[in-house]
Amino acid sequence: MACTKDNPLPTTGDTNFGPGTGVFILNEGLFNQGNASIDFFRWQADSLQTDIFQRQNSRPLGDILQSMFIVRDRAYLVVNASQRIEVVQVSDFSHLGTIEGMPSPRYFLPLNEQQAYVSDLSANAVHLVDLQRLEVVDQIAVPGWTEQLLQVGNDVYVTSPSFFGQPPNEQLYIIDTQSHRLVDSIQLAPSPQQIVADGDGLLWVLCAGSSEDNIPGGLFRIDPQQRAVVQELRFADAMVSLAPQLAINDNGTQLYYIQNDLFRMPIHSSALPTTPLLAADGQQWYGLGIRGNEEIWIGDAIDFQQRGQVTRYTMDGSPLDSMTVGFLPNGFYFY
Amino acid sequence: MGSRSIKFKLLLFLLGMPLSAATQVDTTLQAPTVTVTAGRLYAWQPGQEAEILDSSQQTQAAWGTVADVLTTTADIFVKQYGPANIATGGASGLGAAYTNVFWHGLPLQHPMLGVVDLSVLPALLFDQVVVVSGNNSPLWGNGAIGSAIHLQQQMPKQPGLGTTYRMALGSYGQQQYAWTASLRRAKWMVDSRLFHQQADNDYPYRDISGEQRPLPHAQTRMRGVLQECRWQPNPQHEIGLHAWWQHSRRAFPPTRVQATSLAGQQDNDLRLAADWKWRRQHSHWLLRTGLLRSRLTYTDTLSGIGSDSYSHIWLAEVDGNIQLNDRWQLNTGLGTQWLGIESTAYAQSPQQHRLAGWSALRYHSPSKRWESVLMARQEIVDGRLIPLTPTLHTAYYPYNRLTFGASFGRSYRLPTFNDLYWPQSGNPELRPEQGWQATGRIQWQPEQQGWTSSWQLNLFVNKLEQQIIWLPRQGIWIPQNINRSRSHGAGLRWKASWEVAQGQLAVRAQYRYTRAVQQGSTTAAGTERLQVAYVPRHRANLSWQWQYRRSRLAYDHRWTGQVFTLADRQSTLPAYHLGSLIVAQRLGDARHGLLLEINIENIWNKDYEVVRHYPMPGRRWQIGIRYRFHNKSARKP
Repeated sequence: MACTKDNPLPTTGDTNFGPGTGVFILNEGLFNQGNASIDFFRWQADSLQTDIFQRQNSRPLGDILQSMFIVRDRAYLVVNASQRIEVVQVSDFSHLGTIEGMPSPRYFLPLNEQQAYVSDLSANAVHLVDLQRLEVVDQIAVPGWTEQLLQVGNDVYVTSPSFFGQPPNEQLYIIDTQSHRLVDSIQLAPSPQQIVADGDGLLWVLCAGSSEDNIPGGLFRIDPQQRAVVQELRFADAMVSLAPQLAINDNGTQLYYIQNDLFRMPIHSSALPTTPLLAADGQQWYGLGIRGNEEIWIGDAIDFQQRGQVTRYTMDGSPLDSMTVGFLPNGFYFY
Repeated sequence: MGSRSIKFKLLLFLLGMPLSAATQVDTTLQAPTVTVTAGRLYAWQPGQEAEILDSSQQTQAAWGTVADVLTTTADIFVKQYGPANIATGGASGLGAAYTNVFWHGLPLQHPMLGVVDLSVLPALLFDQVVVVSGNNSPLWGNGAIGSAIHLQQQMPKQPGLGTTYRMALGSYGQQQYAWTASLRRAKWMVDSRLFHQQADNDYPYRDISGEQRPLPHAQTRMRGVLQECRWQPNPQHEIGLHAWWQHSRRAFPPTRVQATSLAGQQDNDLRLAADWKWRRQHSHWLLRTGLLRSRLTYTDTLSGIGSDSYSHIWLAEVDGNIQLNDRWQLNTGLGTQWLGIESTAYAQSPQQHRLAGWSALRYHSPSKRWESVLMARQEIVDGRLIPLTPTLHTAYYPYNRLTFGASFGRSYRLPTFNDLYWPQSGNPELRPEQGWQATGRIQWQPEQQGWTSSWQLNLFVNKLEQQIIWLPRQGIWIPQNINRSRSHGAGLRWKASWEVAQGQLAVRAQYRYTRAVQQGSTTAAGTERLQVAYVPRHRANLSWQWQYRRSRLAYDHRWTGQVFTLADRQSTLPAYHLGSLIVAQRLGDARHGLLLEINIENIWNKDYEVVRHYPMPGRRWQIGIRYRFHNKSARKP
């Protein structure tokens, strides 16, 4: 490492979280411990503010922070095991309200300023949420676990990982945002988990595969106009990380994915890379983020017992610095 | 409430009617009969302390579970997740996996989980709870490193027919109904116990947003029957048959950080035991067999997670105490266990066979002021030899009222079925955890006029290696023998009683200091010397009881020190005090006895947590009545 900055002093007095000022680090927390948290790293001050929700609202965020999304001046924090979405004012992270009524919410996708979809681990549905009233107004039936959401025109693509102990799922589902109904699906490989859009307007889905049935996953490129797979790149085996991650740089030309190690692949490549960009060397990489076209951010859960570590790298994999964050850093929201 | 439940309660009510039944005399006026149900329970571990939780302590917790009984002693830290939730007990700085609970020598640890859920063991079924702190591996085998807890029933001493009917109502929908009947004749005795208890547990709590509301989805239901039969055809032989059936159903409430919960669990347990005791001139032999069948069904309709598991344990053992001569005594035994699991969580139905032999040799000096016991256990599990576990105990009695004891020995704990056979993750190459432990104790009963007292000081040191911990490796969680732990501590206990006017005052005080650290891959940097999570460094109990004629007033106060809650040792739960008060009044005579009890738990209405985010109830009350009737037999015993 070029240098290590361990737990920079937090600037607790600064509660201004404006656009372009930094990155929110999502710390999932330990299951049933209620210690999910959000940290904020400020670009200008080069400093980390820890647990900003707790500090502003004088109470814990909840149990398992899965994801976050900002719509205009509001941030929607999806707290999975607390079965709610906390809504805060982005500027100072003060609490505005709560959306409840979802058994296990996962990811949030705004359709417009009034409505959003929320995926769910156990509801066999995608929830339709009214953002003015902060309540669930409809359920869109989707078989199985619904995970990441990505909108292309009037279609929302929904990944659906396999659930432990149940037959593996291989479908990528498509919901029509006009009728709010499931309209189509595309067969991939077991356990589609992560989805991104590239610079050509095509979609990439990372499938984890099935270690139980020894079926490898892979990367699938999808043409949303045809709703069909145009390229299939299978992993060599069914061993993937505990939390497979897929990200893309800002200009949509390079994919980054974690399959134990970190790999980089141009979107026009015809084969998977054989050597990793970064080797995990025993670390438990749990979160991946790409800042523009400049930096790679990786969250390390270490041993899933103690606070995690976030390290940022150049796009070529050279380490810049690292910092101690909350428990199980699983995502980054560059703002 | 279903029709079967109504019929069961009606049965209890009818059986309690004092028609031709008879009731045992109130045990508070009569010295209880100590029942030695296992030949190697007493006298073979003179270096370790054994605390018998007596009837007065039992009464305060008698309306609850064994978990509630154990909270009255500082030797066991009971990790309670709430009245509607699980409870486990740890001792000597170790977790619940290192404390085993025994009934008639049968181990109650669940083979898959490796722990005993104390919250489904109703206190009213047992008259005594014996806690033997420290390493019990040589005598009792797997999982008894921190302590061994023995659940015992007292057999009636007086001939005749006796019955007791008890009913209690309490806060938050608590109800308890129990009926016991015993019949003793010259050569045989029978003891039957039926019970039903339930609660809504909808006590108020605050969620993380600060909103107060009643705890939802927290109902508990338990019912069961315990049957004991003993036949003694002659003074040399005694045959015992024991059966315990129980059904428990619990709804698990949400934690403070959850909005709702639809999780629940049902436990169905059948435990059967039979033993034959053979007393010869210079030896006593015990032949025992037992069968434990358990079904654990967990469901969570909110998350879609569920499992249905059956565990079967069959064991048989022979144990003998042989008086070799005036100074030497030998205990030796051989036992076998077969364990099997059928579970929706497993792809297959694993089985395990254990064979163990143990032996203890005791010597006492001619003056009987000094004795030593050397014991060892050798176990074979599925053909693999477990390291020999020897232990040496020694005790010195300079005079009748003073005892010095010490022990040093090896301990072990086997991997659980989940460790070995969990789909994709189970690691059949796991080795047993192993360790060493040393204990010391001083017990002194000073001679005084007009009052009695006893002091006891206990010390322990623990070292455990190859501890099993689950860690992720290439995307899969796998149990590995990686961790190590060290613990040491001391406990001080004082008991005293006075005869005052026509009454009796009894006081009991206890303090426990425990220092426990853990090393290994899960240890965060800089935390190697910090206390392990959920092991309080300090604990103290103080209780007093005033017995005046037929009235009794008792108060129990407990203090638990601050604990860390996570591996990084940065989150803590604050220390807390708890007090409970009991007022009891007996009416009637030696044949007909009615006991009225009022119990107030958490009398100071403390808002506390034993486990983070699991709210505990505030002040709650119970009113109970017990009707006892005893009809002495006309026949000679």
